[in-house]
Amino acid sequence: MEIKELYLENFGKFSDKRFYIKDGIHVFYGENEYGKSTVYAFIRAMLFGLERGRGRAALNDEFSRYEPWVNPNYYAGSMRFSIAGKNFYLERKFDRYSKSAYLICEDDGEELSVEDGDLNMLLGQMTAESFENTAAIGQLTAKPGQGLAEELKNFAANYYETGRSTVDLGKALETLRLRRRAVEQEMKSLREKQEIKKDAVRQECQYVSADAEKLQRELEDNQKKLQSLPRESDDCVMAEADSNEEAVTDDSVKNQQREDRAESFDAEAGQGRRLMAMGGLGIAAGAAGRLWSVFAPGGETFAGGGAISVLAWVILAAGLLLLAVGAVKYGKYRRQTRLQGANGRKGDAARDRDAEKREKAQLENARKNETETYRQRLEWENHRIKAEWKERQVRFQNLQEQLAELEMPDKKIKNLQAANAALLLAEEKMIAASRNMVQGFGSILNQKASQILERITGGRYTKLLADENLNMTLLEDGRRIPVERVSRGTIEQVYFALRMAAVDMLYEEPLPVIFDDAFACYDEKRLKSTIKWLSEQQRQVIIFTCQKREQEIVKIF
Amino acid sequence: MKFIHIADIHLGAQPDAGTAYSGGRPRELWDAFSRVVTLCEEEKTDILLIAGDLFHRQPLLRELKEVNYLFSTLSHTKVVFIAGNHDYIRKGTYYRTFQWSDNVYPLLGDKMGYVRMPELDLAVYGFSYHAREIREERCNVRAQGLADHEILLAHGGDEKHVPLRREILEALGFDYIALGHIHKPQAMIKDFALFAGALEPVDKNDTGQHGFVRGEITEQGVHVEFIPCASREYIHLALRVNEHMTNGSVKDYIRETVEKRGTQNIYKFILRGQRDPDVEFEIEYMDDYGNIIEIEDETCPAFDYQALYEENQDNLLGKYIEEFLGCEEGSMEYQALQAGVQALLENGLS
Repeated sequence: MEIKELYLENFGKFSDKRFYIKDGIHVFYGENEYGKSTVYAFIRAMLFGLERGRGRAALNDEFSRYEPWVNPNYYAGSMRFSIAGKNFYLERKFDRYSKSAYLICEDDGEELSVEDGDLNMLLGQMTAESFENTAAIGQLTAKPGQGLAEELKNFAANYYETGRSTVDLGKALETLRLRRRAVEQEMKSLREKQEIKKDAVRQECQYVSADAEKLQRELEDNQKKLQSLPRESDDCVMAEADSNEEAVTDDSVKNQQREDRAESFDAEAGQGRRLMAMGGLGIAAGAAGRLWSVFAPGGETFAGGGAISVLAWVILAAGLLLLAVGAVKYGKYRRQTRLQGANGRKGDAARDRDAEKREKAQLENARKNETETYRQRLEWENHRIKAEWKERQVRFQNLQEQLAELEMPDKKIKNLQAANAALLLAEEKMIAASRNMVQGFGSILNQKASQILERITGGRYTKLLADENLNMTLLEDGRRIPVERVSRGTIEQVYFALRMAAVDMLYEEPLPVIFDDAFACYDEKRLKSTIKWLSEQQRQVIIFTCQKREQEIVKIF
Repeated sequence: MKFIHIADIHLGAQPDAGTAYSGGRPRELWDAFSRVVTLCEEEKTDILLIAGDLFHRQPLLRELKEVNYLFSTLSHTKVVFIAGNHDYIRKGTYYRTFQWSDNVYPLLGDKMGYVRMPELDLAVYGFSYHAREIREERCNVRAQGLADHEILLAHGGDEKHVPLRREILEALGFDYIALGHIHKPQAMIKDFALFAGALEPVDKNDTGQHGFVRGEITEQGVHVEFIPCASREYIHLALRVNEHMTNGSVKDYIRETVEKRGTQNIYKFILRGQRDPDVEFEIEYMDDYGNIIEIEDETCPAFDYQALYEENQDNLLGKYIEEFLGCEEGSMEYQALQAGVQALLENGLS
């Protein structure tokens, strides 16, 4: 690319000012305040546009700085340049009312669109930043910005490009990182879901164990109640109940015995009565026989009468005997029965007393039965509580089991973990691949920069090493010298060498390089060799300076 | 003598059955079990064999009561069951103390035991799990000739759960071996040692048909058949996509497939093949019926790595592909290769 003509229609201090720029090295000489920086800013504004800042930033930005002194609402300019043998005319208006850009190819009259990126294409995708980093070297700002390091890395990734694709390493890595974040996010949400499930189970566990604890307390309460019941009386009641029962059987046995005895008495009495009747009969017969013998002597036989009389005495005696025995027997019976009657009366009284006692016992029993049912109820309650507690225990164990199963990572999560690992690996490998490329690229860059440096320092430094982040080291007789340790002038020359090497490698189209008072620290010798080197390059060089020496050196070549 | 052999009913399990069916699924397991009991009653089956894992976890008392009620409705059928690795006889389990209906014969011992049923001239052998795992071969006790027919009930078949060996089982001298634990119904030895499989599928990987084994032991020998009866089936389908398919077409294809194979079933789809690199499948929006538990996206963008490599040998893309030369398809490296190439191409400068 070659800039042919600049027309500052209304830009900064300039109004209707035209510069024609020759190919090769063009030197703008001017004293301070001449407007060199304005011309430099104009070139940049033409190539990359000039945006008005917003808010407070607008106060001191480029737009405000170069706002036309006269008629600020007409803020415009144009330029002519050629790229690859074609001539272009570019016109821009910067002010907010008529902001526009117009680009036309003067050879075929084809109108191009700046908005659609045609100019960008012509400039080989160069951005304002990379322009600043490479082709435009300002006053004492020779150290290229960090942007160049990035750009170089990116460029390195594509350096050997021969295929159909070009890649953006940084963005590709960013894409991978974003995807990894998405995967992590998904894992997190899955884990959260899992955690929600677990929480639900845990909560149920809590309920169940709270239930179990409550049951435990109930059981303890119950146990206490049970213990507070008179435990011995319990045994007593049982024993008494038993003895009562026994007593009842005793009574019945005794009664039975008594009845038996009474029966035998009755039999004896009957016997007595029968004997007495027989005795009576005997007495009556004896008496009748005696009477008959008394009246019989009035008859004739004494002897006969004597025999009958003896018989009568015998019968009488027997009768008397029988009567006596009978009387004794009956008397005995009477005594017995009388005794028995007395006994019987005595028994009734005892029975009454028993009944009383029993009633009392019944009352007691009722009371005891009540405690007994209470006790039983407590015991049933105990059973129930124990059963429920056990149920809770089984459920608790089951829930624990479920929880343990939930701890095991899901297959989905495993898949995501694998995806995550793969993305991480992709990043690593991509960085590794690019490092390989940067190394290849880096060594070429270093080689080129070293050559340039060797030329402009007249062979003083032959080896320049720049790492990935463009930290630079000089090699002199096998010693490594960090670039910060050398003189200001040499530092500028090192940066110059690197920039020139980079611009050479980065852009196929030889872009013009612009120096804005960049050589102030150069000594005569090195300035001479630098300008000599520049004059040998196939690119336009624009030098702004406030000293005459550049102009004079240029004249030599 | 007619028998029905079931296993792995997993009552109490809560299988993932998609958004539509997961809620009712535990109930369906009970219903399936209940249907089998009803069938036993209707068919006057002589014996119902349950080869372990009747419950998914330790049964609760009320669950045992429910099961026992079902058993008690059987007027003819006798029931023999063992506990498997899921409902193993743990300390304090209700199994130990539960009072079963008269027609139920649990074989809950740790060692091989048996029950004899003289009226059927039958002896059933078996033992229960007393731990979650049993790594020893335990099914090596010979039939003792206690009855005319002898059946072995066993739960296991993998290395952690009573390893089983065909040749050993064959030599034990039983008429039939009713196996449980492996959820996929299958014959270990034809007409002789069968896994009834889970009565209903209880895990998303329990694909295929499920049901029970119906059999009869006669003079002629043993005849068994598998009777599918599960109310739902897990179906895994691989769907091959091509570069012309979009989210919409994949979604439609999935819906049609689900309709064709039955909306009552539960699906997992695996998308395979090469997709248009610009298409990302939004798999979370493809479940029309709420019966898809998972869609796995294994597709890769349609890259021709060889061609890409040859075209880009000297730039980063080529160098990147070079880093992965010789990696296997499906490996983590391959996944990384694909992700990286996609990222590089998406961010092309031109």
